[in-house]
Amino acid sequence: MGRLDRVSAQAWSVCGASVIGSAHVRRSVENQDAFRCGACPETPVAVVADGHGAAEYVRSATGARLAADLLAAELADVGRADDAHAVHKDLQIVAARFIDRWRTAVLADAAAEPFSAAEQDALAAQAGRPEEVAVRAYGTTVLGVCVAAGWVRAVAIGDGDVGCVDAAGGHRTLCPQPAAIGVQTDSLAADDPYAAVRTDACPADDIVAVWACTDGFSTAQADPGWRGLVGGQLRGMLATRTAAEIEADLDGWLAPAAAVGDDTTMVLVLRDEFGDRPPRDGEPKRYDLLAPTVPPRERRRRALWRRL
Amino acid sequence: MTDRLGGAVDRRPLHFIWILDISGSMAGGGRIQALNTAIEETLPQLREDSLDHPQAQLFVRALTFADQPAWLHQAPVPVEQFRWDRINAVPQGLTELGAAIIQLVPVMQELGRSGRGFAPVLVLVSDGRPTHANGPTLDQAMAALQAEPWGAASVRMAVGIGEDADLAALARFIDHPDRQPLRASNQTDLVTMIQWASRQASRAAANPASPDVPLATTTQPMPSGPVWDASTG
Repeated sequence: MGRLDRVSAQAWSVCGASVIGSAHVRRSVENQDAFRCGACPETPVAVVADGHGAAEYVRSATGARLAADLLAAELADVGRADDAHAVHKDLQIVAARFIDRWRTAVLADAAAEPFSAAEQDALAAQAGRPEEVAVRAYGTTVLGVCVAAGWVRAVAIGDGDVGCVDAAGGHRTLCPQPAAIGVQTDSLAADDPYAAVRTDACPADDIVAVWACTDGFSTAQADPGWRGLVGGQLRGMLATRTAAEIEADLDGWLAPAAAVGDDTTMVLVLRDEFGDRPPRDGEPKRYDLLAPTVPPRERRRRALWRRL
Repeated sequence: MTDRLGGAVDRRPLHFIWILDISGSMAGGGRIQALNTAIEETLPQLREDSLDHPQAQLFVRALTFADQPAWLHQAPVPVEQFRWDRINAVPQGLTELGAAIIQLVPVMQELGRSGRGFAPVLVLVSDGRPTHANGPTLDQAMAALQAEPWGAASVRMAVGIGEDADLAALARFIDHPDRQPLRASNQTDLVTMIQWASRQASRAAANPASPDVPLATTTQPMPSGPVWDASTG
């Protein structure tokens, strides 16, 4: 399990957690999921990635880490368009730029640390040009969300789920994908990852939480209506808990799914000033969020400006 | 106060089905005995593999066919509870493979309705050329199977026994460019190949892979001769 960071960006808090799957514990394999949370002043960002588990994906954990970092960085710089058409166009640009950067990064990693004899053995059955085989070794999925200029924006390649929750507890799935059979998924390492990009967006006005998870969480769910359950549960939590309290419990909530087998990772983007919850001792009241108790520039520097 | 995120969790089902030829020719040369032995010896390995894939709940059942198809287990049985009752060949029985495959169509439809699970595994063992005296042709049956999304996605393997096995028909059943039917020429081969095919298929179904990457075929069993040799079992 591991947590990278948690920061706040104006009205939003961002957090995440990852729990290694029982199948990987049994085989002494590392957690091949990765996540990245962060925020710049106006853009909370959260990304999950799931390195492929089959033997030929010998560097999928590295591929997932690079994917989480690079997509988070791209989403932090997403365009600030505020009409639906331009929002989607911005996301397509983000996705294409991210794919290019990821492929460059994994090839650089392979050049800096050549495949070992054992890794080469695992890759021996792979067809294709050496560069294609090298990229495939880092195979991963990736799903990222951000909130910018009044829009919740999402990008996905491969399986996993993204959703958002409104103030009434209603849930909306973002980047929906056709039902897949078994363990097949689109991949960032596919021959044409650009064709596998899914983007989605919705106005953030009434949204109180956005979440994304790897398929370790999704596929462990036995109830077909689990996405709606997550929405209602997050809405309920926000009414009674702080973002920090939710973050503290996230590992424990992911653990049952991880016990089923696969690595399980989730990131949350939570609206701070929302909720029926009374402020805790020492916690600023809602109107205090606007009060310049710390000079704006300093406050921004201390707490918010955490570039990815 | 909510103390969980999501609903109840569970392992995803992986359905494994043996499709076994018990036509009259299987009575000769110790073939049906070797088939029984092979399955008995494969089960412990499948149970062991199941432990390595805790995300999958492996369910096993078997379908036999000669003049008619017949399920040995109407409902899927968890591999931990599956017990093999030895089967016999049907004297003068035909090889109605198409009729057997048609039996799989409603199973695939049911999996589609449940919408959750790994791609099913179908392992065919046969020693002859398919007949269609009582049922559909192989092509008709395969078209029906592959018209079902879960049937098309199934991981299919096949083992032919002896020189009379119709490898072209078995390849039609597999219908995958990177997988070829295996031919067993003696009892030892048959045990090895059924074990190999069964484990490879179940592992392929339970392991994550992108659609661009073919099923690994690097661990081929030993090459075998063209004639079933009953003396070596």
